[in-house]
Amino acid sequence: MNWDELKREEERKRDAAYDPAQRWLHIQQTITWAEANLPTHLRRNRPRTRGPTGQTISIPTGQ
Amino acid sequence: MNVDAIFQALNREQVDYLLIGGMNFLLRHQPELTFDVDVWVRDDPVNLERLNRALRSLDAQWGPTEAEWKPVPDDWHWLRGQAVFCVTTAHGALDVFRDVRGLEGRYDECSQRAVPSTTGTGVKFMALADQDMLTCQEALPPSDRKLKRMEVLRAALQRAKDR
Repeated sequence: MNWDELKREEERKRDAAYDPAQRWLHIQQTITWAEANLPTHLRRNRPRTRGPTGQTISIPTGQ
Repeated sequence: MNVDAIFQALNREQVDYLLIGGMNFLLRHQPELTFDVDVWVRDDPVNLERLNRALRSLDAQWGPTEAEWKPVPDDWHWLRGQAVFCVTTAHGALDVFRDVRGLEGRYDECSQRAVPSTTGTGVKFMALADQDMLTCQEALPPSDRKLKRMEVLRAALQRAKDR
């Protein structure tokens, strides 16, 4: 098994072994954690600020 | 997933590791859909033993097949079995790499230029540098490459060069 095949097989195995309810909970927690840990100018749940380059970052907001 | 808890467990056991992959890109550049934490660990016996202690404290589970999925053993030598492990933990999915495609055998070099970082709650971790993240992407088969990520990384590297 080469490197890419091994990585895919590892992911497949984990997906198969993951308890679906726990997986769903972890996904929700990941989204929450990531949002709270993004640099302030990239957060989507607050007014945008200017980023380090002085450019406004374009992220879909649903508006 | 409580990423802080994963970093804290690794830090508590003094595991030598670098954050790589989508979470690293997300924290340093742009929001990207990612549901696991990828870490590259120094591949030596002392560090793998520490890693195993951290994994056990995270209630990590792994198996050679999904039917044999179970808590990771006390003895760290199972980590010698292959180059990458995708495990489940009480806090979420964790991918552990003993070596990284495109950066094979270059842990020390990458560790020296890694970016010292902290999470929003102040948990420290070391993050793989942009140039090395790009090298990883370039080493992937074209169908697996994340083109948007590569574009953003190239732009960030160019900006850093222009400064």
